[in-house]
Amino acid sequence: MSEKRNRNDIWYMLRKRGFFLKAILSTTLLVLLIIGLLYPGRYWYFPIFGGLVSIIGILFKSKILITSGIVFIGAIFFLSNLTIERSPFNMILLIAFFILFYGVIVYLNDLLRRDIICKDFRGNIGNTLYRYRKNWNRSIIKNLSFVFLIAISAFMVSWIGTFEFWVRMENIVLLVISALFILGIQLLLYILFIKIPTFYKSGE
Amino acid sequence: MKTKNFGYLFAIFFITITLGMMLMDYIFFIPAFTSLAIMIVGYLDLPPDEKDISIERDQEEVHTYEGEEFTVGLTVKNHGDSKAFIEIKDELSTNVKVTEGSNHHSLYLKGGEKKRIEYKVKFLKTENYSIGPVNVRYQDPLGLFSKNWNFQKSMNAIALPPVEDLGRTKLRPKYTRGWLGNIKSAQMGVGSEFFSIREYLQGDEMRDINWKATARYLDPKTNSFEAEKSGDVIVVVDAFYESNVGVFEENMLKHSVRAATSLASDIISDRNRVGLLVIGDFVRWVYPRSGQEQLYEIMDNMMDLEGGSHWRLEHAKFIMDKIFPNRCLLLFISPLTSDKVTEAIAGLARKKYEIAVVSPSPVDLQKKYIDIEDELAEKLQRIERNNRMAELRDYGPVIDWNTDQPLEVAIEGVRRYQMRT
Repeated sequence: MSEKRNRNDIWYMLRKRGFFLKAILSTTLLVLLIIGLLYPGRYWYFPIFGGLVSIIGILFKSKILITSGIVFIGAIFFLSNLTIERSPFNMILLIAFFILFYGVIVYLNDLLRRDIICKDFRGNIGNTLYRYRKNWNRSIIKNLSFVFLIAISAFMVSWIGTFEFWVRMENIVLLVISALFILGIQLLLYILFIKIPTFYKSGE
Repeated sequence: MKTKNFGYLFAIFFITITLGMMLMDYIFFIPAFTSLAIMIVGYLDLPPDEKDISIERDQEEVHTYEGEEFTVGLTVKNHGDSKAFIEIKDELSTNVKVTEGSNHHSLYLKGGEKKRIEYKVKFLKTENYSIGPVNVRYQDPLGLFSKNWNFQKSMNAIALPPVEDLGRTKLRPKYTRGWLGNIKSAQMGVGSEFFSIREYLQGDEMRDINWKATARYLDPKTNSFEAEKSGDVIVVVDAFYESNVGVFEENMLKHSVRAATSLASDIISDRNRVGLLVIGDFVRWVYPRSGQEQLYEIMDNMMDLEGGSHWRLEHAKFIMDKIFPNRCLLLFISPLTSDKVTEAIAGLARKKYEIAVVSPSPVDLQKKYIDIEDELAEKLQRIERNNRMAELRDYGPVIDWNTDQPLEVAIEGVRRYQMRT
């Protein structure tokens, strides 16, 4: 198959520029979401600068710029919410957003790596990269969900009792019991959703 | 190995937990908990052991031709129980071009899974190549741990100069030697072509007796045949720096090497002896011999050839006189870009050598790669070139070869010339 004929193909063009489209779209969506949450706050337009830095990073394929842009958006979001009401819902939302920011950074970095690999290909890309992407996406979603569960559990333990409350000697036992209970739940979830499916898959 | 991401997360954890403790503000514990949770989950996907991933090559050594496509195959296996996200890159030399697939892959391997990777490459230059080592990189999905290692097993690839089929064009030396060959030598001897009838001599084979002539003359007559012998040809390649006109992908030296190997292959197939002399930065020479092994030795000596100007063609005269046999055909392959080369060839022809020149045209090649055409300069170049070729035509056949055309077409001119003379 000639490379020249492929170059005129619209799908070929889209595939070759797929990285830019996906990366810019994810960054823009993140910026819009944060602006939506911060508006009409004092610094609502600040995420735009972070988004621009990220987009410049995407154009120049610079990991450090992409990460800096997203970290900047995250920092603005977090600082704007310093005075937020300390309710469980708000705290869980903050945890979810922290994971979202981290997920976007990891996703963009992987997209960059995949784009470099895609560029090296001549002719059909084949099934290998598609399979890698599918499993990578599945794995990151699974891992981030697990992170979310752990973070929420930790938050719950600390939310039930204040810092001073846990420090008191008679409550230390309670803290240890709670921690062990939470860890037990995590372990159970890990065995149920990660270890057992892996064991059955490898057994096939 | 922990990545920068791990460091950043650890910094966030440390700073926010400290701020939270100092300010007794709950909000700072949120990033602290989450970054700690990410670090903990990251430990679930630790890099596999180096022994768990194995990479096997289909071939460890390969012989191919310059410009021909060749398939490189790798088999990657995960011997461990856990899944692995790996990135592999088979290192290639600068003159190797990937034509299909890629030498750079991202792979997902389940425990015990095997995956095959194939890609096609083209060697742009006649050279001894080494493909490999294979660099492997593991990075967990959360980007916290990475590991780099490599498989040193490389593949040795030898890209031989391309050989063109010259078909009917048989270039032959005028002077033959005692060995059997395919050149008719205008003498009686062992051969297949009828020459004359002579008196029967004791020892003549029965199958050679001409029975019709014997019946007519009532005296035994025998058929005699034209002897078929072979000769010596020395291929002289002009590898001077100033002769190497063109770009990396297509230059005079590449065409000269192609012509030399094609001619050597054609001449050797006629049971002649072929030798080689390359003059440029170094002098490379191969004493004339026959057979396929000789062709490979010639090809081997023309690999990795670079243009140079350390040696002069006058030195070739010395090597010819002292080392190579007398009365052989000197087949020059030169773009004839300087008068010195022309004079040296004429000098050799005036001695005792039979000469033939195959001259790839640098003017046509230059025209292909120059954006602004200067008609006057092109005309002058052509006149100069024609003058040089005309001068050499007094001594032997000179072939003006437009490199866009097959060499066979150009060599056909030599055959006609030989038939006329």
